[in-house]
Amino acid sequence: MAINKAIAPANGVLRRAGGFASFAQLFRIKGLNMSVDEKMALRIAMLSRIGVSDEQLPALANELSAILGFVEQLSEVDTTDVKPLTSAVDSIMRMRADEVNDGGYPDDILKNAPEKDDEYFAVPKVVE
Amino acid sequence: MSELTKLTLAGARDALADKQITARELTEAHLARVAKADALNAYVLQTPEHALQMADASDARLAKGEAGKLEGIPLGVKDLFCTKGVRTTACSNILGDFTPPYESTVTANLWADGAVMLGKLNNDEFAMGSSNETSRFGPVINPWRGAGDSQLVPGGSSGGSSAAVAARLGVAATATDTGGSIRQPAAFTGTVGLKPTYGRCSRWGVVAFASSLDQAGPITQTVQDAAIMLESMAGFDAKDATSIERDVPNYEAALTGDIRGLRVGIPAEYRVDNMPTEIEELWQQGIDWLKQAGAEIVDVSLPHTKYALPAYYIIAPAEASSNLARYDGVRYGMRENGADIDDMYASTRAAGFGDEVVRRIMVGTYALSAGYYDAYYVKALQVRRLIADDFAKAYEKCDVLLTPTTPSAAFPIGDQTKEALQMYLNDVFTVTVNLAGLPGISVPAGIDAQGLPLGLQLIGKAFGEEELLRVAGVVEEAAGFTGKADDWWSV
Repeated sequence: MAINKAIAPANGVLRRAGGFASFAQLFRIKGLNMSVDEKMALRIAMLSRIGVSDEQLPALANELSAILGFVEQLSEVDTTDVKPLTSAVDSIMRMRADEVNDGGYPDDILKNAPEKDDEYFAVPKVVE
Repeated sequence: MSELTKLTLAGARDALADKQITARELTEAHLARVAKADALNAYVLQTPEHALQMADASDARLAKGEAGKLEGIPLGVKDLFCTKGVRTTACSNILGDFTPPYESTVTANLWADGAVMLGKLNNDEFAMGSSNETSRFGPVINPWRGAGDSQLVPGGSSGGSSAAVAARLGVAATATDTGGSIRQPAAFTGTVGLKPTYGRCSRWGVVAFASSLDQAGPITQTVQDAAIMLESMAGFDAKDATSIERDVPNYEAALTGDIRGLRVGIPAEYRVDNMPTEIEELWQQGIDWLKQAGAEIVDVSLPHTKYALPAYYIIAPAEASSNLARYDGVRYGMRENGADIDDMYASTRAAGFGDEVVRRIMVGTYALSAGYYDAYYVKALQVRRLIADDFAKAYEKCDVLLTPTTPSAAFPIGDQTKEALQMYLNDVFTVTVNLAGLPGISVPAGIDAQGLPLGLQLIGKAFGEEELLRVAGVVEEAAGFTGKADDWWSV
């Protein structure tokens, strides 16, 4: 969780920059043209909880820049007042009775665990 | 090749019902063929004992007159479907030897109808790919070969499914489609691939990639077989919150061959730059076939088509980055130990995910991160609505759409792995359908100059599978595609 805290101030700044217009502006000012540098690639890897070596960073930054450059076409589309589509098929979330209807088989749940202890998943020490 | 492995699903079903063959004979014939097909790498796990047990149970039920709709039909199952007690990996190292203690709803439906499982089929890692080259088990080889007997990809991500059906290593196969992963491999192998309407088949127990786009469906030899498979796979499931409560029709009965008066839309925007002449000619041929069958051809416009791939490459990675957060080395799959828990997560995920999966998780994480969320993710969802609206407007003028399935025939192994973006373009004609949640089917319709199969795609209205299958049947009949890959791979 230390990682999240470390990037919090940067998030705050970007969030204050606001919606799409100012985001594009931000990049134009910096002249980055949506490219991802190695520092950004490392930050995304940390957010993704994927370990990357220094040697991998230049290639990763290039690949991510290429993909983000490709999706940048979307900025051509006028989406003023368009409601985001989150579900392709009209459906209403079903309600169900608030009752226990499954469970009670810890052995099955733990069967595939890389490490377990009694009826628990075992992980490296989290709290000092 | 044994006569038994030449049977279509409908043919095998009828032969079983008439007691001309037994389920055991049919299963044994397919197992024998699978055992010789290592060169294709279509199966990542063979389950012959399991298959024979199921076949014997089918024979018992057939004898008692209690046969289900798919009684005794041997199938291959994409390794994305969780199968109880049978290793399921999504062809990713991160799942290790994960052995689900439960069965996916779709496969449970198939087994309840009497189908027999031959084994688990190869796919791109987490279904991310269009060539089946990102699998931890290595690439699948298309039974169709190119010039000079060169080895080609079978398409992806359901490349094991398409190769297996094309090589008759199963009567039919299950598959999944997030951006074209059923239809593109079907087109590359001369098979039929049906992606149902979003919500038609349960996603429960299918390893998730992009949940608002993922949909299970069959790859089969014929349109009739696709209808039979879908009827068994589909249905409401309370365990999938996006499953639609709606009766499953008798899809096979919809194949009347009568499409007189049906309005077929031809979307102008699918005429892309540099499209091979052969693809354009095939498309025109398809138009002529449907016209001759009494359909009315209507020009329509889907103006936001060009933005479908860019929108998809935000939405799908965003959902993947969220879905794949579960692979943390704690509850299942592999673990790579680290100095502390954060280090364990990062080491496990670095060791467990392949390059393409890492790329997509990172793109998705970026698109969802604070400050970029509105610019990328929300923007993509807005464009997604415009794409869905395009279809809605087109369907005011027509009933189904006809397009090519892919911009090319199958390409050589290793040809498009260097540039991720090049690979992404494979889905240019199929991805719109996932974004709009519509059903689509690819039907083998011709061959190119190299002798490789090409597919035509039909796109239906939401829950318009009956109409879609009916038109597909007409295209199939008119095309008379009888091409088969030869058995060069058989040892």
